[in-house]
Amino acid sequence: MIRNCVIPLALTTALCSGLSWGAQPAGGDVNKAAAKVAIELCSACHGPAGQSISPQFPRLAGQQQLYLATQLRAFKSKGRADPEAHDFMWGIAGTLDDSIIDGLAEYYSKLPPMHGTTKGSAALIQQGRELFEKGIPSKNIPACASCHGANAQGTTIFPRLAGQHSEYLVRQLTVIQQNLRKSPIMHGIVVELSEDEKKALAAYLESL
Amino acid sequence: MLAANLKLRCALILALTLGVLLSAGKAYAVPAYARQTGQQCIACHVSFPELTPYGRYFKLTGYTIGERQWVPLAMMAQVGITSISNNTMPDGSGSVINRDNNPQFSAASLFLAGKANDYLGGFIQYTYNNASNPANPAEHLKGQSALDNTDIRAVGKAYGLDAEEVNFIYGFTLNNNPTVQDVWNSTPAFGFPFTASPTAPTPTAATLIDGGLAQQVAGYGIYGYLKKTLYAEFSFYQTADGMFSWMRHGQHSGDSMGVNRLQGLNPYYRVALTHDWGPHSAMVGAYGLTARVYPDNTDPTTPTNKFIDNAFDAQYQYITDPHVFTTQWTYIHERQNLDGTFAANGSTNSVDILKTWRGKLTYYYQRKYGANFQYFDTAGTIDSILYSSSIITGSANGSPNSRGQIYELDFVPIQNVRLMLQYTAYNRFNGGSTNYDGFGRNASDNNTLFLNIWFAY
Repeated sequence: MIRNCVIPLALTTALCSGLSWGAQPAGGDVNKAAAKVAIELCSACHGPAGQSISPQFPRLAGQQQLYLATQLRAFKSKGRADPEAHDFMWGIAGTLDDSIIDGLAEYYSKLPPMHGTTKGSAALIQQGRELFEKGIPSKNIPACASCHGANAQGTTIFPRLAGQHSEYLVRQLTVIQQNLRKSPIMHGIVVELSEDEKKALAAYLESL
Repeated sequence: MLAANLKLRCALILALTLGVLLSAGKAYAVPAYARQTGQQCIACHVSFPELTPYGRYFKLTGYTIGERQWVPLAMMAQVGITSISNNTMPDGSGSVINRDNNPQFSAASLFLAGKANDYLGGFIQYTYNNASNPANPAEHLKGQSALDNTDIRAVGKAYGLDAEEVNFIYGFTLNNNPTVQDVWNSTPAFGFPFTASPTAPTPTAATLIDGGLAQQVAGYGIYGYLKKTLYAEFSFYQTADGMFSWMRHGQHSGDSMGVNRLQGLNPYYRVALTHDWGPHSAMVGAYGLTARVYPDNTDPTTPTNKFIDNAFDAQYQYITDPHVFTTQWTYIHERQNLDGTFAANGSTNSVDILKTWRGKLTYYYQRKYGANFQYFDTAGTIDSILYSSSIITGSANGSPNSRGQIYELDFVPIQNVRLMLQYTAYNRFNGGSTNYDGFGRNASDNNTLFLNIWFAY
């Protein structure tokens, strides 16, 4: 008797599986198909509402829309070729068409901005703050705030840094220094940063 | 002499591997799931087959992420050298295992793996095992082809109108090995060691859920994963006959010492609590199977043995760049109600207990250089008929107790290749440390050094 019930039950489950609940996600006038991709796929690594849990993956919530769209297109064209881009994002972005890319950029840019935690000591964070606001004149490093905004909120193609995972920020500074992530302007600016300076900067930015 | 011989062959294998590496170039050609997702193996695996959080999501959602491939095939092959501590039979009559200290092609698999559509996907492995009779050194090793691990899923995802992520994953699984469908590597089917010598002697006693039904049964059931916190699954396992007979294709289903034959439907459960924070991912859980097994596969008229397996397990992973640390633990308790075997005078007791502990630690640097350590311990009721005395494979005192450690070093130069050096040390084997089989063999005589190369494409 039980055997007779199990297989029909299983097949029914299999057929019903074709119906994903919530195919109309919230998001106002944002592209609903893009929101579906964000919820069903991107959130697996980039977390709920763009607040990723693992520092391997950047937080996306409140990120600049143009920056997000530019990066997704760079992944898709394989123009951005740092190891993590190659290992994780080429495949994902390669499946996205232009409308989904624009929809995703809009979706994440409109989410409540990312927020981090205070991980470093007060002295480290203060050192990072000075670096961010004043740069290092002796190394010809300009203030980061001049492009990324006084509150590290970013603008257009300059990404929001406030609230980002400090581990991710250090990693990006490193791959830009090593030219693994091609960013000629940023490379020239950050190439002289020491490991301690990168950590201080990242600790300050995540604390915002 | 033995060491020199092994060194020579190690050098040969390494040279061959370097040749392959130099000719392989940059690795764009990767196995089926990587081709489907466009992602590299490390997105889903700490080291194959151990899954990352994203790998678990990929499996739970039915292997459906990515674009369907027209040819969703992959292949795998393993070549290794086994060196056991003492390869001379206690009575000096010959060798314990074939091809000790010699390179040996172990096995090759073909995978049909990937998505059929956004709601249906699978993993079907077909394996040629080049050493299917390792316990009989009097013969040359024989090859055998058979269906290997198989898991086919239909899945769905649920989330509300104000969703931030998928709140509930649910699905149906059809598989041929209890725990092969599990996504945590603390359970037996995809637990450590991920590969081992195909010829070295191994302890006789193991619980039923610990591989005893692998590729012999058909299991089907439903599962759900709520808010990345609570996982639950309930399945039934039955003999893979009738419409499911393809799920044990290639196994010895016609002889009395072949595959296990189950009576009716046998329930399997799995629950797990999970939590991810920062680079950390943790799980505690339980799983179990109650199965009624005929003592003789060819005679379904006798009383059955009832195996009641209940297990606890836990996993912790710390995944960053460049450091990865993971650990898996499981404890399996098995009550064996041996009504069938006891009635046929096949056991001393009508009820036996068997317990297994395993704990494993892994460290990887840059996902290239890995080190693993595992402690294992199986202990249970003395049963001098069930665990009888016989040369090498038997027990002199009727005890199933075995204990030891595995030390393993891994090198993954490119994602398609893994080199492994593994050493298994036994403190106790089939009930004893010295003269465990009653013929003069010691547990440490079975200590095994195993060098293996694993190719996947």
